[in-house]
Amino acid sequence: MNLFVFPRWANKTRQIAGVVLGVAPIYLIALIWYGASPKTTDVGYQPEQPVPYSHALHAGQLGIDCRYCHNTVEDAAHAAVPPPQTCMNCHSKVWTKSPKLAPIRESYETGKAVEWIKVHDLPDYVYFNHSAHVTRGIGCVSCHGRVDQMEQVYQHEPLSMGWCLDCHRNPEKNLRPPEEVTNMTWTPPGGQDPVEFGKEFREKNHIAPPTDCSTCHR
Amino acid sequence: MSSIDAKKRLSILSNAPAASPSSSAGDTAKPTYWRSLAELEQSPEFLEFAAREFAAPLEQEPPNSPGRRRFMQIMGASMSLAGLDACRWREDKILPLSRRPEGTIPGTSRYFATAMELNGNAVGLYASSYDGRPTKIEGNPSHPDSLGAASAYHQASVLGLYDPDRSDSVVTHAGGARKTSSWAEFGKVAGAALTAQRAAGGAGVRVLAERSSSPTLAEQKRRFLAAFPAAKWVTFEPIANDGPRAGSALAFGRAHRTHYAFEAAQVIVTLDADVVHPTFPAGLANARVITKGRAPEAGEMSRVYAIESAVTLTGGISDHRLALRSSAIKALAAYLDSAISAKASPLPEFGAAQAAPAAEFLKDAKVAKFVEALVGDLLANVGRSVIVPGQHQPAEVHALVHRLNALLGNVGRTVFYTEDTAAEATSDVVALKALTDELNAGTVDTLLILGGNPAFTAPADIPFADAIGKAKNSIHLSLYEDETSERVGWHLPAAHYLESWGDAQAFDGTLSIVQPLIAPLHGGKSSIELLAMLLGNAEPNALELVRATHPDLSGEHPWRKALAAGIVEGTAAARVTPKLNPVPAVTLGEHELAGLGGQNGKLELLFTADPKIIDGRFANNAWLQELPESLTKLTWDNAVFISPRTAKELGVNDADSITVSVGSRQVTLLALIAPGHADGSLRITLGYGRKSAGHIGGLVSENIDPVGGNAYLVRSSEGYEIATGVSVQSHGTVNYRVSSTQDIYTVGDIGQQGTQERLPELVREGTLEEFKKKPDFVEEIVEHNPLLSLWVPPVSYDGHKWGMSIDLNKCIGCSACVTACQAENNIPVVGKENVAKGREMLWLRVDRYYKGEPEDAEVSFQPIPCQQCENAPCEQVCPVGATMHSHEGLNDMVYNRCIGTRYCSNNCPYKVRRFNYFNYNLDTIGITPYTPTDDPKAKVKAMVFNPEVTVRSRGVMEKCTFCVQRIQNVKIKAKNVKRPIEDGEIKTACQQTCPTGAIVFGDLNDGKAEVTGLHKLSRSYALLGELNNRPRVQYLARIKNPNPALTPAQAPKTEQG
Repeated sequence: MNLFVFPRWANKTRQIAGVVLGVAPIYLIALIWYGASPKTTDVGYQPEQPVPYSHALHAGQLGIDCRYCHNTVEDAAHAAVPPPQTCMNCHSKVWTKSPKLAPIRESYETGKAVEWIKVHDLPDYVYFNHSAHVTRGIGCVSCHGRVDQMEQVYQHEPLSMGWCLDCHRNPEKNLRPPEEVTNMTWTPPGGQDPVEFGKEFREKNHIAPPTDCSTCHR
Repeated sequence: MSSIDAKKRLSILSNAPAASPSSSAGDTAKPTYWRSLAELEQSPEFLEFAAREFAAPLEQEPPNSPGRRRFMQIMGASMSLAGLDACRWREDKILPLSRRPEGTIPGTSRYFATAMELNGNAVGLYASSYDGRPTKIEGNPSHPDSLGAASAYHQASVLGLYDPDRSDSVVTHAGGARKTSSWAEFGKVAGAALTAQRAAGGAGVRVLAERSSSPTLAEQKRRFLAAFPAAKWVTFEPIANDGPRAGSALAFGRAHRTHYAFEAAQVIVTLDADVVHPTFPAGLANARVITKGRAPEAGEMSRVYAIESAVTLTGGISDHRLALRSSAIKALAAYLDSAISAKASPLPEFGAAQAAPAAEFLKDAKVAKFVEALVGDLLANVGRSVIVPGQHQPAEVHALVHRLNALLGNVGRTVFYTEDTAAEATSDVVALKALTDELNAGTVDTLLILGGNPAFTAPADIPFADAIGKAKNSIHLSLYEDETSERVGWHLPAAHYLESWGDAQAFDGTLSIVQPLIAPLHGGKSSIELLAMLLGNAEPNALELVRATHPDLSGEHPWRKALAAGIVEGTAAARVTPKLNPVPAVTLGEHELAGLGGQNGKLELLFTADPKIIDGRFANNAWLQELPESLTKLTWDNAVFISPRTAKELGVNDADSITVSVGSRQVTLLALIAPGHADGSLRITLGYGRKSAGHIGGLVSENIDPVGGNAYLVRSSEGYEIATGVSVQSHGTVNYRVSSTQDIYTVGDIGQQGTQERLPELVREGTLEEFKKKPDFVEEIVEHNPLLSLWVPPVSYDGHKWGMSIDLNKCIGCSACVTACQAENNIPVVGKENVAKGREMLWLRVDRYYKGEPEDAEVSFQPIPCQQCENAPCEQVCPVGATMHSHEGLNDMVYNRCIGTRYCSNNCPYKVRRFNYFNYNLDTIGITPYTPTDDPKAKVKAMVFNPEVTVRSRGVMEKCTFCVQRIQNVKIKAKNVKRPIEDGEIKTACQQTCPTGAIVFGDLNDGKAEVTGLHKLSRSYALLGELNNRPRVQYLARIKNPNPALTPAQAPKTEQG
């Protein structure tokens, strides 16, 4: 009977293998922990923007309505990021030399676009239409959270298909009068339960969110 | 097994007594409808092909790849890039405009009116601008030559705009080597050359330009010739059609244009003219008007006689067609003159009639009967008929037809004339020959070629290509660095019409302003800018030049009105009534008087513009190359069309390789047997076989084979349109796969038997008499069994109920709808190999059926989109629920859920589902969301995508969606302001571009919608409706209006029981 004799170099590799096998699970767990965390994939995603625009200041403190800048939201699919021209409406008079606003001024002068990073990034095969929701009475806060308190915009809701369908199947919890869509702190009048209000509102306005695939997928 | 069944099939088809006792009455007769000669003949090769489920050995190679190894390398590289560096998908950026113009909404499209000019005639179009780039073309309803329609090449022009093969720099070949340069450099050199010429008054300057109706270009030309009085301006177009000009000169002493009012015509006769084809002047409008006059519900229908060699679209819709050699049309016209003059008592100033020609073919019984019936019908409809000669027919035919229309009282009723002030004094070929002689004599100092590709398209006996180099300075302005650009000293990149300011006129003279949708992508300039530059204006502004040409549009309001409408009202040329001169006796040669058919060596060869790539200019347009040609469904190729009888006589089989010899010139290419084609006549389309078209059309310098065979090689100035004395030599079948989309769906024996039984049910036709006697005759063609459903009572559709109606009486088979669908829905191009394997991706296909004998075949077209069945067979079998039924009746396709089992396509009875076997968008959208493209050429190519529709990757099924993106956009817009949707507000892409309005889409729950009315018509039927799949698309049966004198006694069409 021949005994198997490990070659001499196996001594070294045994030590190295021990270290690798010990560290590997920790590495994998950390990788998946951070990589698959909602902060990386969806909720909590907060990318750095080229201009430190603060919604908390403009929308919250100064009280500028969402639609002043995102003015196409009631007519079109995209609630477009405003052109620097909109910013210059005020900032040609206010904080005209601030270094934080330099990219805006540069874009306004040269025509070069400011490269904003999209926070609420839906997959390319999903076609979301803002106007269909806003004109019907879904508040901005329902999907975007308290933007008027955000120094830097982050994703507040998962925006997954399941989350969209939750509301489409049961819109009562998110309905409000269309005039109040930009009101971040709206509650139904007279302390009514929001779902109750939603039910009445839905009845009165014949709101029937479709759940067909072609509603969003084309 | 298959050989025994083959014999049985052959015996059934050859009218032999039925071998099988179980066959019904229908089996023993020859099949009424058939889809290809191979299917009809049931040759052993065809049977073998049909028996095999998949095409010849499957290769796993992706399209257009240098090899599997390279493919693995590419795959490997991108996998390593994906890695673990980011667990989130690639970030999306939002780039807003720095200053947004008022009223601009990002992410929506706006239409702007412009016009596309081809061969001197412009068709007004609406081009949609999505976020500042044009993605879709539609017709301009106000334009007389469009009336809202756009042809396949108009739709495909947007792909040409973003073609990565387009030239992007000024190139000079000084010193023999190719070097990129700049406009500034060119300006210096050209300026110097022209200044030197000024002293001599420009005696050595020659301009060779395409035909154009642009008033601004005409003004630039006037200024140029004023600056260089001794210079010459030559116009050359390969599809010059000198017949109308010379014929009008013969008949009226001056060139005129002929305009037809088909709505007033009861009898329409075409002599080798494809009047409904988009390339015919006002063709799109003609199609609409002619088919409108053929609505059987009106009780009266016009009658169309087509006498032609090749089967054209007009021949397809005609009630009677006579296949006759193109060279025999002259003798026929002379005969018609003699016959009609005898009975119509012409005015003495019209002069003497032609003597009846002693033509052999007129002695043929069938021809004689046809002509007699035709003459009878014409004389019975004086003032309500119209005869149209083919554009390529010689001058004498045109003159004779002018005389005939005058005799028949059509002038002023169905035929109108305008003066053709733009007509040249001589034919294009004569002018080009003179220019070439001057070049060879060395008297040309500077040659400026504006557009076109004369080195490729010049007749073979005029050595223009070699003569270019003899000019000291030669300049070519073109979109691509093509065959001509390779031979000139300076190549200049041209601006596409979607990038240029300009103007153009319709065939009737209506002016349109051409406005750009995007700034020149590659720094190109238009012809008017180049001329202005050469005349001393260093920074020419095309907009100013155009505005300066139109002083009556100088006010802001008239200018904006012209831009918004796309036409300037009141600019159509005034109608005139020219005096008809006596037409001299026509000279008839041996060819023109010979009998039907022709021997080898005495054949005729007809040169026609290709219906898709015209004269070769669109050879690099992949959409057009992949568009199946109307009759043969041939893609990525051209062929010589031969009639079945002549092919047999010449020993040519279908898909043989043949060499066509015209005099001492030869070309070898594919031969296809075309049922219905005239005997003794061959037809070839121009524009293929290009060596420097680009990566799609052929680029020999990069080892990309030319597509098709070059007809220009055998085209000489003698017999320019119709060559005679042609001989053919067959080389037998070579190892060459013909990429035709017909026959791909043929399955084995049982399938073919089923097909034979079903074909008369798919294309239902009848005559006007039958229809009047029994309006619901379409119902009797099918057996109606009770429609049982496996499911609980069907869903009720209370909201919108989308449906479509396709009128087979109006469909001319032009396939513009197919390209419109491709443009709207980001449908990829798969290439020749894959089309041959049956993997073409076109969502909409136009099926073509032949009827009758191969020699005399009639043609029917049937567009087949997804039928959006209420009881869809495809929906039942999807394992992952990727195809679901919406509450409005649409069959939704969800690409992200599809895992590619292809069971849905398997189950579809119409085979309208298409599978992405490869990632055909690899170069533009990349492999995964982690690996986008940085290649600038791919980014330009990606600009053509419609952002409203997902771009599909590999492994997903796709199909027609009834343009759900258009439906959704209109629905949302209407709901936002709480108003109902009007009928006609939502137009599917196919519906919008169809010249005849054959396709109608709408809400079936709207009682007043057009589609609801059409579904209720008695001649409306559902395709394969007896399968109880309840399709939402219904077809209106085709009704013909044959002349009783020409209709043989027919066996009863309908099946018994």
